[in-house]
Amino acid sequence: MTTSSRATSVLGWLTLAGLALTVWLALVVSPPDVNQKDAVRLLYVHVPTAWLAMYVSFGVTTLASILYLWRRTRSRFWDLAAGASAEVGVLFIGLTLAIGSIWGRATWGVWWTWDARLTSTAVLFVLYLGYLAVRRVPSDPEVRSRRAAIVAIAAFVDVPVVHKSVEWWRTLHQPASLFDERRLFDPQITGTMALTLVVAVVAFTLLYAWLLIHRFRLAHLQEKADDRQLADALAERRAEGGDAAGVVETLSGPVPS
Amino acid sequence: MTHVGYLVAGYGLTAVVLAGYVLRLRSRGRALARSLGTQGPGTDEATTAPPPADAPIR
Repeated sequence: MTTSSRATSVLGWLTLAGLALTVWLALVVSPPDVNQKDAVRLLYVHVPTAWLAMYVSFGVTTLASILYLWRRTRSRFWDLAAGASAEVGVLFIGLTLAIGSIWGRATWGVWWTWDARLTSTAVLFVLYLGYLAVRRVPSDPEVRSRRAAIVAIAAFVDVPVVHKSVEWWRTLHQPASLFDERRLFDPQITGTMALTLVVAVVAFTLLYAWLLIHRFRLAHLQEKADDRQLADALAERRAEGGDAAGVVETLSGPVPS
Repeated sequence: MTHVGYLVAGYGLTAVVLAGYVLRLRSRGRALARSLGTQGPGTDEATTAPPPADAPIR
């Protein structure tokens, strides 16, 4: 695989081991919940994907977009990093919504409800889909990257809204069990369940890193392929121009120097 | 559907989506590398290495 290197291979194997350990802890070792029974095991996928999408992926996208917009640090590197991280984030936030919907059906009895947390998360998903669409709008590469960076920063405004939605509005969704400044040192989840959740977050973070590196390198390869295609097309046009000049010369005789 | 059914649906969906994305990344990477004429895994540093952070804007 051309987007691979020795470091990403090691990272890939570590990620696979971490995910295998997560599945074993989540489905075999971790106990069922008193109220939710076995459905609580969906927590170990739902929480890590939400954490990675909202705070890590979109955080990296926003930071890279700011660095791209700042003249001193502006480079293709930051634009490609922002795009790669956003795509992985959209994948994770899509999974968060899907797993949350399944979990909601198992515990609340409905696939979807217009709850503040669910709705603000769905808005976040749509905002970053829009960001990815802006990146594909045919335009001058620099103008397109600048527009995309502004959209990414604007979209990130929804992240604190999602985070605080369970406090600002009366919601069906439970408040944060772990990722909350007041509960960080007094978590609502302990023992094997807490251990499983931490292992799951670490494993999914490794997965994010692996996906980000590969998506970034893929975007870099795509730019190189586009550049080569453009250079080939220009060379072809120049050759056509050269042939036409040759024909004119043959018909009218040698051009006097 | 039982709770086990929801678990199978949740974990199954996650596995399918993530595996599908990984396979898509790999196949697109291979196809691009072929079109650019690189030899194999990480052999062409100029092609596979990311641009440096201070790379100029195209």
